[in-house]
Amino acid sequence: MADAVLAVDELSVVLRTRGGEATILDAVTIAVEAGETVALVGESGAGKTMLALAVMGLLPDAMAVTGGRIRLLDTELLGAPDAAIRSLRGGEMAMVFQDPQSSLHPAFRVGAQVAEAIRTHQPGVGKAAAHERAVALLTRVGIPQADARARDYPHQLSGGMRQRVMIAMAMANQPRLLIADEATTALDVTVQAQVLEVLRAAQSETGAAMLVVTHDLGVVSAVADRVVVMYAGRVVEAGPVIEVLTAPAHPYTRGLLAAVPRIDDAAPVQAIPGQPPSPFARPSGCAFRTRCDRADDTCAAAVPALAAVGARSDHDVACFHPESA
Amino acid sequence: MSALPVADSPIVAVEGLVKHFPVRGDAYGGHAEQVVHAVDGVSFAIAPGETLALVGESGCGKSTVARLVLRLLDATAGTIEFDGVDVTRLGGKQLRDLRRRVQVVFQDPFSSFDPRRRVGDSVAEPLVAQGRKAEVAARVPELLDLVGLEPAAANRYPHEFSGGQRQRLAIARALSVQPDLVVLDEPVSALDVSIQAQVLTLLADLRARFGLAYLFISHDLAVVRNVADRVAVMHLGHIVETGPTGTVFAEPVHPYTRALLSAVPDPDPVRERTRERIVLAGDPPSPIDPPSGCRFRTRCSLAEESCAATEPPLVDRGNAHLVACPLAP
Repeated sequence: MADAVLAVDELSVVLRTRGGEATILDAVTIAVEAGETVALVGESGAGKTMLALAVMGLLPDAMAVTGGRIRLLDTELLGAPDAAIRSLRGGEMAMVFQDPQSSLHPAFRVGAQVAEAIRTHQPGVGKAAAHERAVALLTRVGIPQADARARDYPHQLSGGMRQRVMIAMAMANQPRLLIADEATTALDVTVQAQVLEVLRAAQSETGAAMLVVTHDLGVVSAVADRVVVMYAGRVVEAGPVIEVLTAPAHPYTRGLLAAVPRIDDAAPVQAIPGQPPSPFARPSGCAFRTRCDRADDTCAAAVPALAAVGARSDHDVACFHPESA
Repeated sequence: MSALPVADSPIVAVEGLVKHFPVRGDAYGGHAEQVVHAVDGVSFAIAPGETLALVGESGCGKSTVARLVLRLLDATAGTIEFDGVDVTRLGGKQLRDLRRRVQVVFQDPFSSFDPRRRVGDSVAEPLVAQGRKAEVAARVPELLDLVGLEPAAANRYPHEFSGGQRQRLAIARALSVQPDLVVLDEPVSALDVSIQAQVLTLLADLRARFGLAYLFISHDLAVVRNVADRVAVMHLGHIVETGPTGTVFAEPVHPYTRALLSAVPDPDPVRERTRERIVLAGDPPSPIDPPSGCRFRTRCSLAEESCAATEPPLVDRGNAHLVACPLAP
């Protein structure tokens, strides 16, 4: 995929503690093209947020990249000087986090915070012009009376409105890559529907590549073109969203779908037995094998590689015994 | 407000429940006394062995109702009857007897256990509070086994357990005194999907085994669909629609219920991309100064002048399906 906006190639990340080293990401490869939305889905500890933070150059100090490459457009991000990453962050790439309450500065008016994001990356823009553009951005993300709201402090806005401000800020410099990390998880469902709409519109207007990190398969199904399923630091399945969610090949993806309650179905949910392994004690071979009903000796001996499902070139699964299509 | 049709002898019956919280006017000690209308005239009943879900968004008053039923808060008005006895103003020993029969599981499995106590002691706490210390040694291993944990777990500390295991412990603690009603306040909201399914399965098993009644508080409509016999949809302190879960989900009538259900994204991408969506405009109104008449009217597509005049009562549309909207078809 030569024209990918973001290409993460065989990225490995470890957590270093006094108790030892734990693998957080194990040779993870993903790509996102312009205008495309890729959802990164998995449960707590699967490594999806760490992947997003690695791309943004925001990994916590205890984490270290031990291998792989991250390319944004023509720039190799790993090993690039801090100043270069800083100028890309909030410019070519931007991120919306889960909790807008703690991502906004409580003591500054929200309009000023959006204007600051513009002027940081475009020093040529004057104060008045930046404010005008901030108000225009706030209008575009669906904030009513944006002129007046721009003078509000974050605590005066609801959670949904604050998340819109975050999106306005992320879009301020027409990023080529927009990462949304559980951006609607803290919101009520009617507000989530509004904010997903805003994200969709923002992306289609700018043609940005969008990486959506979520645990919610409903959100995946609502916004994504392709989905990447992660388990215990590895990609276990990836492909077009309709393929993966209607004909899952990996036993974990299948289990996840069977565990999700549906609003139109009272049939009891099917639980996946056991729980995800700690990163300090991952099973050998396939990390899912201890919870998998298809596991045998092969699964313990080696890590299954991602390979095409049947004849499809765009649907991959990492399993020795995948569900055949 | 009319009483809701339920089984002849409900385990709990709530009538006209009201809870107002006074708030100070502004952050600088201003005098304007204001009132949060958290719960404003809620009635429902739960039969033995039945699960009623209260569903709604943040601030609709569902958790306040839970705390009122648990008698952790005192009602401003209205009554709570337990087995036909009014418990709204009980105190002392009678309140302690009620506590045995009504137990609770909260959302956050990380803050509902004392980090310095062994979990076995926490699980046994309701028994000790009921003066049944003698039973502790025999009951705790039994309870742990019931929720799928090893008896040896009793000697460990809360931080040694995952979120799902801690929620199992909270359930074991609630069941220690053989309650009739368990109030479950967002019991699976903090859990990952695969673990959430385990806890939902456990709750269903325990209910079948002991004939427990559940008051299930949740914002997650799909979870409610999965666990509840009946559902009551709350909006700004009112129940706007209630009925058998299958009926309300398949044929929602109130415009708010319809918007709420339509906002839930469908994990099936084919259906998600073709279905009709109702996207509400704006934010929910403040419970401090709710709109007159119907509190949903400011965001409602059906609203007309008459909606501002009076608060619409819940009206039976047949089959125990009640709707508080005279305009909905």
